[in-house]
Order: sequence, then structure tokens, then C-alpha cells
Amino acid sequence: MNMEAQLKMQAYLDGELGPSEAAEVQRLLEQDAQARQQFEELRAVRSLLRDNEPEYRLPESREFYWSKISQAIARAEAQSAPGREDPAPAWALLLRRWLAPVSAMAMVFLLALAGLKMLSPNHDYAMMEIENYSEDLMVSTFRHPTEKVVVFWLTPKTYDVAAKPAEEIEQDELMYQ
Amino acid sequence: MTRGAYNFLQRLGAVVMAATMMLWSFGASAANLEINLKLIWGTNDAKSPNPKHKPVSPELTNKLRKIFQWKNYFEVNDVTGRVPSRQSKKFRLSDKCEIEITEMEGPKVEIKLYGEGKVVNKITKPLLKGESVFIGAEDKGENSWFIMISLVNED
Amino acid sequence: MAPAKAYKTLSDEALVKEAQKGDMDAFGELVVRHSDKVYARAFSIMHNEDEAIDLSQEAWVKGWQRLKQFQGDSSFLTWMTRIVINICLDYLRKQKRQKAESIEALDEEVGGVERQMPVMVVNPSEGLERSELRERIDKALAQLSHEHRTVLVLHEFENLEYKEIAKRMGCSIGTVMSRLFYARRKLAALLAGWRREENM
Repeated sequence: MNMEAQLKMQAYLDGELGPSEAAEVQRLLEQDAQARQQFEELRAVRSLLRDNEPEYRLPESREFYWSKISQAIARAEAQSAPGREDPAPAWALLLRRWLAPVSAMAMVFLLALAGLKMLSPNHDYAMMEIENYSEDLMVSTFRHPTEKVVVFWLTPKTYDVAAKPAEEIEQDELMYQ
Repeated sequence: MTRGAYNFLQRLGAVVMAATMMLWSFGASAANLEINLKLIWGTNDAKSPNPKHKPVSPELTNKLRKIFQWKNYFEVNDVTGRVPSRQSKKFRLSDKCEIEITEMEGPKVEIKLYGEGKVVNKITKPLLKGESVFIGAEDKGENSWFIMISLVNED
Repeated sequence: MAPAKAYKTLSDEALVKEAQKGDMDAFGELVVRHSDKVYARAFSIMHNEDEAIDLSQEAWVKGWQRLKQFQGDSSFLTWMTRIVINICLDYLRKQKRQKAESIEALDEEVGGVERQMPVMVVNPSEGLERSELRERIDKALAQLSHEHRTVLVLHEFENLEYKEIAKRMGCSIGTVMSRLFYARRKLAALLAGWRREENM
């Protein structure tokens, strides 16, 4: 069987042939025992690989891995950050001085606007209070603006026995004797 | 700036602040709230071990999948009730879990989660139509539970 | 103090939305969640731990820089996997590991080695535990050149078509076909050979 025929047989196995070429390969497989054996080998290896992809785990702690990534991101961003802004030109400074008397009034209006804005739905997150009464649980929170959802998530507080000083551990052990 | 101009600005500021307070107080009107609470179990398993628990609606499943990492969500309980203005109502969601909602000035609600009869936490926030509040935690077997609180209506 | 965010509970979609707004902690949760899979894809191509760590980290940095372009057409993990594959392929091109491949390239051209391999009739997986089988497959993959291993990874594990593999690897469809053929036959020969040795 020549190379071209073998590659066509492989392409047939992988679903890469059009109908007429596929029919051609089917005829070959019906007629040629060696071709059938070869096809079966390819099919078996393909199946074996797809069902048994080796699994590899990251060989270092995820925290360490992430710390290197976050540092690389910070370096990349520092390199692409724009330069410091130039000091304001003289005309801008003059304008600022002229506007100073009206800034007090502007502040008041802004406060009023802020007050009005607080009546709208978007500031509810800022007006939230949480009181946790459980010694065993802590609360974390998240807001999903698109889905209009606020989540309060309870997680157990973890207590690290290893962090306790030695004498305290001994006392606890005494309690359980 | 002249003394006259300064005084004018002061008075103007006071008027604006007063107006703001008035507008603010309009928002603090009393309301009776109709609230829906669902107790939901989240899992990657295809079925809940309790056959009484039905999957939540496809719309809700899609919404929850956008927020949380679990694949499937089952309704354990669904309760709707009325919280009168400036009063409290307790909603029993399971043998171990209750939520007490109090309608407060603001408009805000105070949400208290009770676990086995004891207050676990208290949340105070505005509750707006179209927005849902979730209180949840992980359950054994890498599953989770949530209480979904939504404002159905207010009058 | 502002309440902490419940990142661990959130879906990838929710985390991506937060990260796209600049929330580095949300992106960190995505990294922690998918670090094994992205590393595994890099290692499956490179078969070198240090290179796989470096290249997968580079992929994450690129993922952060391009995050606003992620539209959600595929899952976030699929998107990151594509990035790490492209980075590995770019790295291999730059490395120009010609020496090991030139011999095999010659073999492919003249239809050499794989023609000499008899068709395997021994079932290489028979009687093996899944973990043992995976180990053997890993050992066999390690024996292939980068080019042959990459074609197998992209076809068998990433389910890419010949055309897509050719585009990613910068070669013709014919070259993809012959490399895939060679890689499969070589793998079959290695696995069956080890089985025969055991049965002796």
C-alpha cells in the first residue's frame, strides 16, 4: 500500500475526506486485509490517546505561581505606563484662580446632586451594613451589576492549631485526657 | 470675594442643603413589601438526593450559572409573604433556617439569618425591585445552598 | 473596612467580568482555578517542566493584557488554552530545534521509519490500570519530537482539524497528515514493544 493510500485511510479515520474519497477508502478496506489491519492500528491508537490523555499538575504552589504572574503583569504595565503629566500651563492656573470664588457654590450643588443621585438604585451597595454574630463564620460579599445580584457568602473561619504557642497546645491536650 | 457675595453663597448653600434633605426624606416613605424567598441547593450532580427537590426554572438556572460555579440548582423551598411597613416578618425556609425581614426607613430592609434558632448575621440594605439578594454557603460534598430574596411588590 | 469578595464561589463568567474592569484579585482566582490545565497543555507540547511553567505564565500575562478582547464566544479556559498553545508554538519556532527533527523530517519525506514498522496486533492497553496506561502514553509522547508531539496533542487532545493545525504550525496540510501518521505509528510501536517485553 503506498503512502498516499495510507494517508488517505488516516484522513478517512479522522473524518477529513469528502464523500467520494471516503467511498474509495471504504472499498479499499473491504478488499484489502492488510489495509484493514493498518486501519485498525490507527483507530486503536487514536482511541487510546483520546481516552487516556496524561494528566499533568503544576509542580509548584498556586500562590507562588500567581505571585510571579502578578509581578510580571505589574512590570509590563509599568513599562507601558504614560509619563508624568506636564505641569498645568499658565493660562490654566489663571482660570483656576478666577473660578475659585464660585467653587464653593459648585460644591454645594454637587452635594445636592449627589443627594439626589443617592435616591436612585445604583448606590444601594454603598449603603449596605453587615453585622456578623457568628464566631465560626465570616461573611464576604460580591455584587454582579449585570444580573442585579448582591451575594453574601458565609465561610468557616479556619483556626490554625500550628500557630498556637506551645504552652497553649499542652493545656488543650490536658483538657482531653 | 466681597462680604456680601460670601453671605449670599452661604445662604444659597443652606437652601440647597435643605432642599436635598427634603428630597431625601421623600424617599423615606413607608411601604408594605411583598417578598419572595427561595432556598436553593447548588451542585454539579445531575440530581438532588431528595426527589422532592425540583430543578429551578431554566431562566433562573442560566442566571445562577452566570454568577456561581455550580452547574445545577434545585429548589428546596419557595415562600412568598408580606412585610408590613416598619414591621418584621419571619420566613421559615427549613427546619434549621429562617429569615426575618424588617421594613425600615430609607427605604431599606433589615435581613436577619437564623440558623437553628440563633442569629447568624444581619444585613441592612435597600431592597429594590429587579434586584436579588443571596445569602449562601458551601455544603458538604462541594455543593452549596443559597437563600434568594427578591422584592415582588411594594405598596 | 470594605467586605471581602466571595471570588471562590463565582462562575468564570462573573470573574472575567470583574477582571475586565481591572480587578486583579478576580483574575488571580481564574489563574488559581485553571493553572493546572493551562500548565498541562504547555507541558504536553514542551515536555519540559521549566519551559512549561515559563510559557504558561507568559500565557497568563498575555491573557490579562488581552482580557478586554474576550467576548465569551468560547469558555475562558478554551480561550486561555489557545493562547498557551500559540505561545508554545512561537517558542518552538524561535528555538529552531532542527537537529532532532531533521532526521525525522527526512524519514517523513522518503516514507522511512513508519514503513518499516510492522502493523501492531498486540493490544498495548490490555491488562493495564488506567494510571499505568497514562504513564506509558506519557513516556511514549516524551520520545517524540516536538513537531510530532504537537500534531498529536492538537489533533487528539484539542480536537483540531488538519487545516487548523496546519495554520497554527505554519506548515501544509500534507505535512500535518504525514507527521500525524508517523506519530501514531511510532506510538503504537513503542506501546506494543513495551507490552511484548513484559510478556516475555
